[in-house]
Amino acid sequence: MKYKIIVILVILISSVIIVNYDKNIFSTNDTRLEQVKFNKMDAVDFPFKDLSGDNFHLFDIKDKTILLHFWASWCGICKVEFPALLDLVHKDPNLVFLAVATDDEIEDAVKFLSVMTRRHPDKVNNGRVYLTWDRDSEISIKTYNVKRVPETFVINKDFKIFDKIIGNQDWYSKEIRDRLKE
Amino acid sequence: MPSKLFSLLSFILFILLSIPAMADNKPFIIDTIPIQHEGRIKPLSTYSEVLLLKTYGKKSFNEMSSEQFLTELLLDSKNALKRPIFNIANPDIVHLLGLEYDSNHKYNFIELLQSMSSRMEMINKLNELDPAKLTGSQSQLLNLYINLMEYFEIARSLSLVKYEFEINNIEVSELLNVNMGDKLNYLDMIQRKARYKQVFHKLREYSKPAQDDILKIGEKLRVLSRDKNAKIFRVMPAQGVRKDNTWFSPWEVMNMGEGTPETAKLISLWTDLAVAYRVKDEELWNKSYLEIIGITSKYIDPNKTYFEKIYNSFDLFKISTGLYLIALLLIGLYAFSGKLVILKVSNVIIMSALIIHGLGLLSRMYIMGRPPVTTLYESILFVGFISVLFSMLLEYRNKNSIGSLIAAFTGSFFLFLSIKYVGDGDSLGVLVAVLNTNFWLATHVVTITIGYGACFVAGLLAHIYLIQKSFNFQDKISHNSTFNNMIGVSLIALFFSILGTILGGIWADQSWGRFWGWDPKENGAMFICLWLITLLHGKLAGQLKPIIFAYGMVLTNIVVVLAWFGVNLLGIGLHSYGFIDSVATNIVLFIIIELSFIIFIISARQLRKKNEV
Repeated sequence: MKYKIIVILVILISSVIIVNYDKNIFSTNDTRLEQVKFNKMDAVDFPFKDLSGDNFHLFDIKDKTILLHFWASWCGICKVEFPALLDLVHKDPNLVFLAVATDDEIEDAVKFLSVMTRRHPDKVNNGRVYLTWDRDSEISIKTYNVKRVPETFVINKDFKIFDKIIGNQDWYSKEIRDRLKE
Repeated sequence: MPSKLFSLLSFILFILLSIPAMADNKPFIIDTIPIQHEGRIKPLSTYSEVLLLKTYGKKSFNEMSSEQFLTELLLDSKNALKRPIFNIANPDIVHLLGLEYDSNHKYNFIELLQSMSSRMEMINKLNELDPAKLTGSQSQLLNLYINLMEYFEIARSLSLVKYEFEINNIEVSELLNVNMGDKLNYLDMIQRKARYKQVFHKLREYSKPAQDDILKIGEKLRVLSRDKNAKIFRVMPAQGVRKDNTWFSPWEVMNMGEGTPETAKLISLWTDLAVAYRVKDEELWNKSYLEIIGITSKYIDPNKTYFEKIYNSFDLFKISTGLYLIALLLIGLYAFSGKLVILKVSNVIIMSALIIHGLGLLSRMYIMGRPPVTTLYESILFVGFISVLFSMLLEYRNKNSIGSLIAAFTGSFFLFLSIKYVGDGDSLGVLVAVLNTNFWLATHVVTITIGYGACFVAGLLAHIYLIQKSFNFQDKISHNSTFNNMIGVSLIALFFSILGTILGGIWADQSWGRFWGWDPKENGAMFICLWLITLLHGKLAGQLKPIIFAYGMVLTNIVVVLAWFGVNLLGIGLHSYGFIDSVATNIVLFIIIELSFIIFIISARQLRKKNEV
């Protein structure tokens, strides 16, 4: 009988340990809720017309890391950080910049962008900056679920989203530079 | 062999009888889609039960399942808000709200809202008071108001994807660049807000019918935008924008900057689901439903949510409670008739109940990914399981019906007790931080609770021994066998209690930085060990007579109950499961019953001695 009791005890204890044995046995985190950042989410392609009138697809410019930036001319902080973004892209040849203006009227966006072009012609016309206006919010609300600005998606060469940056940022900071590197 | 066959057949029969018909995955019912609620990701099936229990007090509403009910609330809220879903048992509240109290006392949202809105001043005042100072009726009224608001919030959760706008004016359709007769939702309208603004500014230039339509659209947009605070329906997985893992409601996604192409896709799928529900398009429903499950499967294993939905529909513990009770009755019958076949049948029933009980525990382990001993409710279920298991091992060894009696008794007792502590919400709750370590939870807490279970079995054996001894039931050999079993089980109890206490110390050393801190629960665990050691030592050294040892073992039950439940009453210490008012009364009642039992046995024995003299 004693032998049987010992066997039962051993089975009980080991079954408890076996049932709960997983790779995170000593971890204090709840692994089920562990987040997988953007979960290798595919970016979604869309057509857009550059303000110069040329037609593109997002997919066409994916040979570099894309900064897909949503902004509006009525948004003060968007206007404040716009030159910094242009500067960042200009200095880093691995980046392309697509600024999507969510203004109600195209004229409002154009007005601000022409000021930018006049002040920073080399940065706007370096071939890696695309400017477009989002008529009827097809890109912002419908495709990327963006309602508030500024919001910036970072898309890699495999056309996967690997980060999203909300609100205005110090684009020169180390933190942001790190986030732009996958 | 025939008896084995009989046992097997009875077992299969019981399992078949116990399993309710498995619900098919019917169209137009949302059940397995995950939601984040109270910190845990669970199927909407579980959430729907929680919601219905809170308002209606049952897990189904008339002929509707909780899932059907939730689906209607989400996708056809106009209809759902008219259903008498609020069960108000307290007539004072009904009168306070100016409603008529009848035997049915079920009220719908609209009538309750109407009477509440004229009494908002009173509700606001109650809300400002200290909850501890509220009377029963006052806190019930406040709860009713909170439930009412939650119910409405759920009803409005999907208002942004439902087609609320129909453009029937040719002029307006041209202005907004949509087709005549098109149905649009809030998001479609928001996309066209620039066009709408232009139109609105030139309102006077259009015909009267067009003007009316334009104004109506504006008013509807204004009303709908109020729903942006609907936060409960968190079915949009955290996209990784923020560091925490909070999921979002469809309304919140864009407002919180959580929008991604994936959330856009999910919102369009919810739109399709709403359309499919309205026009009863089964194909579209199934397609969008499966796509939603497909997307969310990246965040939670869909098998787990499906399993939880099935677990919800079975109510395994209720089934095993019933079986334990039947077995208890049969054992009573066996005591009178002495027919062995009745005992055998009851053993089969207890084993079936034990298996179902165990399946329930295993299911909870699978769903939660951790041992089933994280709340008071779960520890009761687990102690019940251990007690039945030990008792049936005794029965297997002795075959004298005592093990079966204890098994059926403890099984039904603990499962009944658990109903009291299940609460009215989701019993699969999220852990308090200190328990959030699977390894130690599995070893320390499980070992300690096995110790509790063994203590109860030993305690009950002591009761039986005392009754046998005092009333001369059965012969001396049976008395001795019961006594020896009691010693054996108390040794097992001591082993697990000491092991559990030491493991607890090691865990405490790792998480709190000290092995021992004289915390009430630690003292309780040590007290169980000391009590058992004292008794066993006294017995082994020959200082305690068997009858005194048995009295001591009856008192063990009190010691365990105090260590297990009593600690909560102190309201201090690191182990409190949370204060529960009714526990105090129940503990006092339990102690009185156990002490009365001892007094009863002592007086019965003295009376017998007198008579013998």
